[in-house]
Amino acid sequence: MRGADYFLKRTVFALVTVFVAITLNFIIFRAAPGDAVTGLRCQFCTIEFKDQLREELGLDKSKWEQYVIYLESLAQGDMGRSFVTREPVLDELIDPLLNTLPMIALGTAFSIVFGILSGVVAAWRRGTFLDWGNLSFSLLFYSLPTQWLGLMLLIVFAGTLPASGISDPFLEFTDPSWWDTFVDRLEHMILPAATIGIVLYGEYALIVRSSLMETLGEDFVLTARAKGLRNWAIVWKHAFRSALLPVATLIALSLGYLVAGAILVEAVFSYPGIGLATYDAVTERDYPVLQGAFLILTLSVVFANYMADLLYFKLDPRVAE
Amino acid sequence: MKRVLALLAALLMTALALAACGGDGGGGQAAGTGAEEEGEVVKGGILRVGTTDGYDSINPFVAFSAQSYSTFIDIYPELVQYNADFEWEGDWAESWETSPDGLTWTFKLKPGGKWSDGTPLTAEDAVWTGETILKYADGPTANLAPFLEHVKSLEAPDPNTLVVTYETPVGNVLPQLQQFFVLPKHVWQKYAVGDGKALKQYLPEKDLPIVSAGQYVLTKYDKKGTTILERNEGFYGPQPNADAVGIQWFANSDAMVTAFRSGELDFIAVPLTAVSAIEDDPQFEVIKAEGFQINNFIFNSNPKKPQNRELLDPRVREAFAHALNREEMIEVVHAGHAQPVASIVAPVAGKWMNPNLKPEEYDIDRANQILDDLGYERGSDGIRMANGHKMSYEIITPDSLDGINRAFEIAKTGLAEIGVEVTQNSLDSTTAFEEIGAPEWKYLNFDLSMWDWVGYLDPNFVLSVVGCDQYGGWSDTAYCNPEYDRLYKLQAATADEEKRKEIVWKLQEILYEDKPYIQLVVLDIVTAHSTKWDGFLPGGLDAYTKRYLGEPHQVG
Repeated sequence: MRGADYFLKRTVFALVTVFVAITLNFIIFRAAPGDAVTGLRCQFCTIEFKDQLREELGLDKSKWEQYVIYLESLAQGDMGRSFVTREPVLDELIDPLLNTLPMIALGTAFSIVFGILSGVVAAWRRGTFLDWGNLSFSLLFYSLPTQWLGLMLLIVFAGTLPASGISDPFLEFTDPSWWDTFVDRLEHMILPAATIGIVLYGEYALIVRSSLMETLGEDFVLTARAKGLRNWAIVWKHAFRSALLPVATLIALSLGYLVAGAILVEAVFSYPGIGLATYDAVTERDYPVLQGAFLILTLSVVFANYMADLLYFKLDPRVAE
Repeated sequence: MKRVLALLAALLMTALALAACGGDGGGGQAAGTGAEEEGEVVKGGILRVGTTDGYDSINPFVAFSAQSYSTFIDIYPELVQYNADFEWEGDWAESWETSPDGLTWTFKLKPGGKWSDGTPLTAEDAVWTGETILKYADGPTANLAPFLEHVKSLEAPDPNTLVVTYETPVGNVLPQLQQFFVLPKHVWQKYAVGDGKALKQYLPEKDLPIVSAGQYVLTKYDKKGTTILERNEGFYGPQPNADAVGIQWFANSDAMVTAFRSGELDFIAVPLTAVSAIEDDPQFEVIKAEGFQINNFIFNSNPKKPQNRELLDPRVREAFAHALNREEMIEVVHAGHAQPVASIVAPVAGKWMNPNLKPEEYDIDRANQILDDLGYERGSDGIRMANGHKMSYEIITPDSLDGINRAFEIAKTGLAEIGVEVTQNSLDSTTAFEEIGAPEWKYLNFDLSMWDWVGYLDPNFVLSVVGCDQYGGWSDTAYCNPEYDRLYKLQAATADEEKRKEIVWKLQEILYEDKPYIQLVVLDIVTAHSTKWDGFLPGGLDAYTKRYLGEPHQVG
């Protein structure tokens, strides 16, 4: 029953967070000066035309009415239509999202594998040159501004890897095979994914190192040593498992990168993902698309945290108690 | 016409009429191609073009962005266009003549044109497009209506003749018609029903390839990727040299320049700060041309402005003008690729620019003398006092304008030398423009700003932005002068070019004296292309002629 309580509590908490985020989403974008119509300064548009446009977009209604309509539509899974293209928001966002997901996944996988490896090695060999080197690089990468790192990679790999976009636009003229298309996509993904991967790598390596070092000082590790276990067995089988707890949380939290980090990286590599779509929506005052993008961000973060909470329940018996 | 900012940028480019510099006034066909003839012409190949100006829509009733308009020129017929020497020539029109009263324009059209779906292109398409634009001018077709301003009717006495009749004489008929794109009636007419809203809602990109009758057919549309134009075999004019053109969008110019230098692109407009690096590379050829963008310094000229009213005084404005170091801005901000200017009409507009107006010299002593004579004495901190308060002001700047922060610092240094303190309020473009108009487009709060205008070859638009009727429209100065407005309307209705020129020059004089703006510098347009290609026209002409993407060719 304790498990059911925990599950229920976490679920309610997640739902409340989502509702608050949805409401804040609505308020924040309307608190900014101007609207989609004032943004559209059209010399030849008459006042009547602008009013008609406001009416079409629902901007003539009171904020409260707009809020109620927004909630009702959302409950029906309708995120509205873009003010700019008049297309459903989901249609506007689904392609960018599908472009971003594999890129982020590749970057995150890279950072998890290398961040954990490097953190473990550093903790295991603490105080040595290996630890010092690992620590320095991790700190350096962690503190690099994402967009600057992206730009540097772009310059360094100019001519070797594509500088922008998601695919070679002229590939279709060569009648490409399935494999050619796959390789082309992958090539375009490498630089943006590497940018995200390198920044996250620094973070993961630092956390794993410090968490593992703490665990290596615990009594149960001393006991394991006293039992005569070998070093690798102590680190991998005993200490590492305990040290993984904060890493699980960190990985869940970094899913917020989906939109936030993607904005910077995608702007450097002209990568048509959710980050770029969000940026465009900001400059065009396209509320529905902005709300949609932030809703996706919110849901992904809340969902990831929710999953982390549930995972914790499994991983850490203390939570169940 | 275009303010460089996200939305705005879009709007501007769209709107107006370009015009006629060096036009032959309207009878007959102009000559001269101006195309380069160096290198052996090799037909075929894909021309890969990089751009940082995105498409906003490919529906002409919705689009505002410069990139969209540039593509409409390539895929739709227009009656006339400019050649490389800025002279008029026919595009679809073979020749044209004007009635003695200037109200009726008869265009003889090139025969044999076909839409890309095989349907014949006829004058009936032009009549339908024109009538539809006029019918819904107050709503769905509002953004194209200016190009047919004062048009009374369009008729097609035969498939190759179009007659356009105006209600009143118009000073810039050809510049306006140069932006009149003819659409395929058989595709669009089902949307021109009821209130016409369907015209705006139609998404041509859902029916690719877009039915085109220009030199290219749009076969792939990707706003955030690469849009592809392929040669149209049914084009009424000369076939373009390239088989296809790929227009690839970049989110930032650094990435675009990097892609160009590594051979991923054949042709780009070069950011001015990157020109020297590309110039030194023998793999590329650089073309420099006079540009359309003029950066300026703005005074709030609203006579009802409650604060800091000393800024309304033309003498104070003159003192400011002598404290702004244009040469330093050119060197530091634009890497030497700009020229000082005095008028809102750019030199590239040719005879329309008033050559008698000279940029104010950078002369700190003279500026100080003017303010001393006005009795604005310096306080102990070196800042002058005017009407009981410090001469300390805020300058609104849009963050989208390249180099604006450095330009502001140069202005700040110069003004500090004459005892004027300025601080920068950097805002995104939409917000900056709203701050200038605040509150509610009454223009009461702001003092100063630094921004730009991008004009056309015809001065009609750029002279309109200071009209009294532009409060809440294009005005960024709140300038309002009834005499100016009277002359502006007069030039718009003056068909005689010489007479119109005199009025246009007078308008520029008025602005120079009243100084709602201090015009600072006009930026060059620099393009670069791989030496594997040739035949490019000067940058900026993409808005004026099909030759821009029709003539480039591979070199043997």
